[in-house]
Amino acid sequence: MSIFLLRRLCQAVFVIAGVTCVTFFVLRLVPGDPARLLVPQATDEATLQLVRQQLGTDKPLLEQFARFVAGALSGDLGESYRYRQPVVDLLSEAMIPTLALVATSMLTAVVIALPLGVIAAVRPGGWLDRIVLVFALTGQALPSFWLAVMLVLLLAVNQPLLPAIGMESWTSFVLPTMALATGLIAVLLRTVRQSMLEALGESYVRTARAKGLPVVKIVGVHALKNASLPFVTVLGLQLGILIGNAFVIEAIFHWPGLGSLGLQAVQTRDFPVLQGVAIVVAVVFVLANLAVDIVYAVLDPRIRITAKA
Amino acid sequence: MKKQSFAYQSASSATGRLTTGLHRRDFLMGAASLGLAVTSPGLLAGCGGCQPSKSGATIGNLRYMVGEAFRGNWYPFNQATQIEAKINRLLFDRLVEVTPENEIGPGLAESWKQIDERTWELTLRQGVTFHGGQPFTGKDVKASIELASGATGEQSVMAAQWGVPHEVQIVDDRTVRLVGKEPFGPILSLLATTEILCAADIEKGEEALSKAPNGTGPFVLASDAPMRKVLEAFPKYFRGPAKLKTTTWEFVQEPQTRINALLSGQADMVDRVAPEQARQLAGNDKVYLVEATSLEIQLLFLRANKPPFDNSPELRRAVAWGIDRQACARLVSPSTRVGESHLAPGNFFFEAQEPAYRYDPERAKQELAASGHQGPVEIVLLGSKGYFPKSQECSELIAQNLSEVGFQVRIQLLEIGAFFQAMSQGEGNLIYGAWNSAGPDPHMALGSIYDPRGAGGLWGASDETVVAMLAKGRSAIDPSERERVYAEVQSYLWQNVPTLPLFYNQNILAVRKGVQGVKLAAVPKCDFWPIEA
Repeated sequence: MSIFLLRRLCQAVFVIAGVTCVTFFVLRLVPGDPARLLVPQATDEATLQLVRQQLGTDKPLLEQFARFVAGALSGDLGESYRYRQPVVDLLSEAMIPTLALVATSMLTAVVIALPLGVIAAVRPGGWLDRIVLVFALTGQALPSFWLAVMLVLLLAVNQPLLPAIGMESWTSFVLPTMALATGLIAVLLRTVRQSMLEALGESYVRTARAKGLPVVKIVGVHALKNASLPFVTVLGLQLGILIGNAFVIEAIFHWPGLGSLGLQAVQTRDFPVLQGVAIVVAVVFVLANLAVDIVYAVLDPRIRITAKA
Repeated sequence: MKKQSFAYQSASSATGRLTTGLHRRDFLMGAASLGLAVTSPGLLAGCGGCQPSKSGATIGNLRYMVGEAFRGNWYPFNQATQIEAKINRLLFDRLVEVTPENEIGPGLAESWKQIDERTWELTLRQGVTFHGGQPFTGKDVKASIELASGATGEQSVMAAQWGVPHEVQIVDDRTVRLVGKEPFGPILSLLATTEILCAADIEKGEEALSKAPNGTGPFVLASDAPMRKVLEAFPKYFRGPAKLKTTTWEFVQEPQTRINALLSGQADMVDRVAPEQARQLAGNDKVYLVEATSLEIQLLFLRANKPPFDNSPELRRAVAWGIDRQACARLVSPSTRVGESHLAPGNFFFEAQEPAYRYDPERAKQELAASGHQGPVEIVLLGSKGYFPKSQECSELIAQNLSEVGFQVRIQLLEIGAFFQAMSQGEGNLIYGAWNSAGPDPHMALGSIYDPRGAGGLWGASDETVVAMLAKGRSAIDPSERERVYAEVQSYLWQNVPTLPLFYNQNILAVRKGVQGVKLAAVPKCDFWPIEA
C-alpha cells in the first residue's frame, strides 16, 4: 500500500509541475498587455513602460519563468498585478469558499442519489424508479448556469426567501448548492441504479435471499458494497466537472471563491493570480484522484495487487 | 466484464481489512467525517440566521455594488481605475468642486481670483482637518499641487493631465497663489479633480500614499479588503458628518448579479446598469433609477496613420454619412443621445455641430467617389466584446451600412485585453471604442486623445493642426476666447472626421426605494455626503 501511495504521489508531483509549466507559457501567449489594462487609456508609452518594469513583464519570458519557479519553490507565487497583494494570501482566502461549495454539493448529491438510486433499483419499473429516471434525464439535460439563474429569479428575486449572492450565512449555500448538485445527483442516480441492478442480479444475492437474510442487509450490505466501485469512479471523475461548473456558478452567485478570482484575473491579465488558481485547481484535482485511487484500493484489493506487481 | 469484477471483489472482500491494518468500515466512517468537516465552516457560519442578509435595511449603512474591480492603489495622482477615483472623491477634498449644475464651486478654497495670466490666488477654508488629525494648511496645498502638476518632476498620470507645472506660494495662513509655467486655461477644472493630500504624507512617498489614504473628505477608509471597501463617516468633516454611518462598496462583476442583489434586498445601490436592464427595472416598485448622460462618447476611430483613411477627409466623411448613427443609438436604448460634437453635452463649450450627418447613403457614395477610390474600399473594423454597450450589434450594423455604400468591411471582435493590444499595435482601420474625460473642461476631453504623443498614439492621430488648436485652447485664459477656440476645434474635428462620435453613453444607477439624496452628474462621480439610507 505504501509503495502504491508513493508511486501515486510521485505522479501527482509531475502532473502539478506540468500543469504549472504549461499554464505559465499558455497564459503569456494570450494577447493582452497587463500594463495597458492597469492604466487609464490616456497613459503615454513612457509611463506604460514604467508600469511594465514594476510588474516585471518587460523581462524576457524565460527570465520571468525562472523567477516564477524560484519563487514558487519557496512558496511565493508572486504579487497580484491588480490587487497588489501576495497571490498566496488571495488564494488562501478564495480556496475555502470554493472547497466548501464543492464539498457541500458533492455531499448533498451523494446523500440524495445513493438512497434514491438503491430504492429505485430494488423496485425497477415502480413509480419511484420512474421518477428517478425522469429526474436523472432532466437533471443531466439542464445546464447548471441556467438552473442557477432560474433559482435566483424564483427564490431570491421574485420571492426573496434566500440570498441571491455572496457567502454570508448557511442560507447562502442553498441556491448555489442546488444549482451545482442537480447535475451530479442525476449522474449518480443513474450510476447507482444501474450498478445496483447488476449487483442484485448476482448469484450471491440469490444465495443470500435463499438463506432468508433480511432485504435491508442484502441490499445495504452485500449488494451496495459491490455496487460502490463504479459509483466511486464516477464521483472522482465528476469532481473535475464540479470544479469547472463551480467557476460559472460562483460568477452567478458572486461567490467569493477561486472561480470569481480567476475570472477577474482573466479580464485584467493578472497572470500571477491566474497561475495560482491553475495550480490550486490542479492540486485539488490530483489529490481528489489520489483519494479515489486509495478508495479503489480499499474497495478492490486487485488494484493493490496490480500496483505491487 | 463488470459482473466478473464484482464477483471477484465480493470474494476478496471477505477479509474485510486493508493491508495497512485499517478496517474498511473505519475508513469509510473517516471519509464521511472528513466530508462533514470540510462542509461544516459554511454550515456553522450560518447558524446566526435563516433569513437572507438585508444589510440595506440597516439605517445608516449603504451597500453599493459596483462593476469595476478595485486595484488597491489609493495614490490619487496615479489613479488607474475609475472606481478608486470615485472612492477617492469621498476620502479627499479638492480646492474647488464641479457642482451638480456643472459649474465650478468652492471646495477647500472658499474663493479664488485671477491675478495675471499665469497666477491665481485662492482663499483657503479654515478649521478643516485630515482624517489623521492634522490641520489643513497652505503647506498641504503647496505639496499636493506641485506634486500633481508635475512641478516636482515626478511622473504621474495626473501630471500628464495638467501638462503645465504650477508652483504654489504661501501668502499667509489663509491664502495661496498658484503660478503656472505658462498660461493655463483649464486650471479650475484641473483643481476640481486634484485631491489635496497631507504634506506630511507626501514626504513619506508614493508607496505609503498608495496604501493609507488620509484626506479631509466626508468618509474614512475603514476596511480595505481586495473585493470590498468599507467607508465610515468622518465625524469632523467640515460640512458636518455625512448622513450615512457607513457605506460598503463591493465589486460584483456580473451586471445581472448586481441587479439580482438589489432586487433580493442584499444591495442598496448598483452601478453600471445596462440600458436594457434599466428598461426592465423601470416599472419595479422596489427600485428607482438615477441617470445622467456621461462625458463618455462612443466613438469610431478612423485610423489616420495608414491607408485608406489617412489624407482622405472625403473618405472619412463617406463613413460619417454612410452609418445610421440613430439606429446605433437606438440599439443601446431609445433615450441614448446621438453624437452631435466631439465634446459631450456635459463638457464646457459644447456646441452641436452641422451637418448632423444623418444617415444618407447617396451622400456617402458621392463622398466616396470624390475621394478617388476605385471599387470597394477594403477595411477592417476592430471592436471588442462585452465591454462597451451593444458593441457587437453596433459593429455589425456599421459593417452592414458601410458595405451598402462601397466599403468591404471585415469585422474583428476581440476580448477587451486583446482589443487594446491590437489597437496599440496599429491593427484595424475603423476602431469601435470610447473616450471618457475626467472633468468637464474640453482640454481634459480632447487634450490627449487627438495628440499623437498622448493617447492619440493608440489610434494613429497625426493631425498637427488639431494639436496646435488644442494648445491654443489650453493657454487661452479669457473664457470667451476659450469658447471661441473650442468652437473652432469642434467644427474642425466635425468637418474632418478623424473620429466619428456615435452616441453619448448613459451613467445609470439603480437604487433601492428608501435611499434618498442620490444625485448623478455628467462627471463620473456621486456625492455620498447627502445620501440617507
